[in-house]
Amino acid sequence: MKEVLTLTKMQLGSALEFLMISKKSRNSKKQMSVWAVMVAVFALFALISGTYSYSMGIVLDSLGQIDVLPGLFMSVTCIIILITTIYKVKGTLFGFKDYDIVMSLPVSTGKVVASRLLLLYIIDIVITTAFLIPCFIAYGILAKPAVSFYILSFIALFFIPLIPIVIASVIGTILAFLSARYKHSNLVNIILMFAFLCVFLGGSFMLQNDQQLAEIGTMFSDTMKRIYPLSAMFLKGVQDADLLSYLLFLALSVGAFLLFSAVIGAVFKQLNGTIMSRHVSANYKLKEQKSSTAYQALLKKEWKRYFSSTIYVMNTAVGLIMLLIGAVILCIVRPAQVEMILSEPQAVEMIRGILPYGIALLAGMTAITGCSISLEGKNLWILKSSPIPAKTIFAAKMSVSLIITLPVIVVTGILFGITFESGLLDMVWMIGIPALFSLFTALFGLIVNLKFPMFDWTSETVVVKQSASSMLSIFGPMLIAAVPVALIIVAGANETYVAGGTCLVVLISCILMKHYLDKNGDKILLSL
Amino acid sequence: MLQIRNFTKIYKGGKKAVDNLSLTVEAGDIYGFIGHNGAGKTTTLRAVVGILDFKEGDILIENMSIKKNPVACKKMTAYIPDNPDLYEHLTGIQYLNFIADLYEVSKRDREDRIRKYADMFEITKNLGDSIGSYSHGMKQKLAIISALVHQPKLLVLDEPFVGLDPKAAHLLKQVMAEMCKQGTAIFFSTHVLEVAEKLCNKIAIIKDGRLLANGLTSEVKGNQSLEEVFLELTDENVQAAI
Repeated sequence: MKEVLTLTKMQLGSALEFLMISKKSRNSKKQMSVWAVMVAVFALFALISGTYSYSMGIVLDSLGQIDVLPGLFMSVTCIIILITTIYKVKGTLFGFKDYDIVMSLPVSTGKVVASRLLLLYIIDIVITTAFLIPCFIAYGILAKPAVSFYILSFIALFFIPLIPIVIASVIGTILAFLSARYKHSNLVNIILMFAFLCVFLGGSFMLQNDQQLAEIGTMFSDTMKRIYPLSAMFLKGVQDADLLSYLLFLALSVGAFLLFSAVIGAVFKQLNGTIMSRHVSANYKLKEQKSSTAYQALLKKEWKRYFSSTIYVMNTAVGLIMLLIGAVILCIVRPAQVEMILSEPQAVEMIRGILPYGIALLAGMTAITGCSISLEGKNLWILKSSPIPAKTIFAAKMSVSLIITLPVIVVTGILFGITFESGLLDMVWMIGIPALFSLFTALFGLIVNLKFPMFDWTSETVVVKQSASSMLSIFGPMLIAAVPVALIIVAGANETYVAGGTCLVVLISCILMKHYLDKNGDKILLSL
Repeated sequence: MLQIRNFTKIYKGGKKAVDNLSLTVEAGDIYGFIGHNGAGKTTTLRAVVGILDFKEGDILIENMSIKKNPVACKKMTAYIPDNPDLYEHLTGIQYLNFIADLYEVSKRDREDRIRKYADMFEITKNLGDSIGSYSHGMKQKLAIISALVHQPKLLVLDEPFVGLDPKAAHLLKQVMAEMCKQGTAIFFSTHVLEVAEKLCNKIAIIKDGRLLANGLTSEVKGNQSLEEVFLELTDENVQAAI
């Protein structure tokens, strides 16, 4: 166990190196601010979860179904863990960069695997606590359960992520294994992940077809009990203090985790070799070459870099996928709930007013530039020694972000426009506001990453998912998108004025950020 | 071609990596830069190619300051680091074209040069594979070809012979000699004193960031071997014994 913990600490050490405030640190102020950001992000997650669980709890309580709440949030947490862990498998469990060093240590393969799984567990336990503790508190306030609920649910918290991690690891391993046969294995892996996500999310949407809105929680929880029987055991355990169900839940979670570790441990080297093997043909014949401008060359390089990393694509494009799936289903499939909403003119009016910010929020999650500098890693010398001004390098990085987000924004804007029968001005806002936000996200992400870069990484997952820069670049635009929504809903401000004002503020911010990069880009790049 | 004037680099935390270093590399020189690990060689080379920021002193390439005209200076320079960390997601040929595009090498010239050097270093058949599948030596060869593809006026190399097989090392020495004849200035660091002694017409010895000796190889070493001179200058025990 000591060896497993040492290995995990070593991996966590590189992941959190920048956050560790040591006596040797020469930049503790910056590290403090990164810590503050991380704590703020955790608090934000907890706040969102707390707000949603409390407001949903009030609705469920009025329907006499408050007991559904913990199960519902447990299910949602498990789904989030499942989706976000699948694409972490390649890079965390398999194909980590320090594979050679770690595997040459006098430690058994089983322990190496256990340490990698423990790393996944630690990441997921943060998500679990951020989502579930506020929910349990909300449930406590509304349902006033026995003391045993608090004790049992708190202990169970540490076991909840285990089985979703195992399921995600199995799916992630199968997808990585299948894609390894192809020359462009990363691209195939990304396509398979997208297909899985579409089926999963699309399926969840379709499941709700003929249900009433108020029943979604109950229905969702019932469905989860059927799909994932462990959630029923968990609920029986914590709510009815049924110790047998509770212990069975804990034992099955731990058992599955240990069994998976043992199975993977036995075939780890073989699996890793297959998944990480590169296609080598060694039969190239020199043909006529094509030349491009420096900007085009950089853009091609950035484009290939983006699609060479499954975790990079999945983490940044998930908002766009959700947006596209949602828009297609609402416009073409038209579930019963949509028909119900469309028959309420007031609701349609309200949705038209806030929809541009909803699209902007999801498009704002596509923070491709937020880790594009860090991902240069040890290759940064190539750009720094090239005879190219920083603004051309930055333009190429931002272009990738815009090329990916803008078409999705236009398509979803049109689909939502058709669904909600929007007029011309509404369409302008629907496409224009998210488009400006995507420019804002690209610029903001780049600046944040230049301020908080991370180059000594051994796993892309650390940079893409856990670095302060990637978190800030996602949550910054998301928070800003929430301001106009609050102005419309809470303050009752005029929608057109808010839309025009938002465009103006975002545009001015973009101009200022661009000016800052043009003026200081070369100096900042040189200092990295 | 290259003038380093009173170059001093102090890292954050106060460590002085290079202290008031001055030297000149002329066109046609093969200038060897030798010193112990941590002597300040890589720091100097990185400052020359515009990767490292510095405040004190200046570095001129063709009389242009790397601080004031970085893009113009870099256009004339090629750099090969000690560890060939290249874009592993690109194929060899994609990487060479990427570098050729950044340095605005014409289609015709890049084809000729890639053919010449890739055949010479025997990696033409591997150019279609991703760099991630290359061995260390193959990456080193690719880094060398990418430096030669834009025919630099100043070639800066950090331990270029590490990781190369004997044949490739021999070829690289030939290429360096050929470039030198054509007027390219070559400035490189090495631990292999025999190579420096045979290949370089000029040598600089650095210790703890300070230049101990520099000039024509024949003048620096006198009647002794370069190894003897290097040890005398850099080893405090030997110095004390003398």
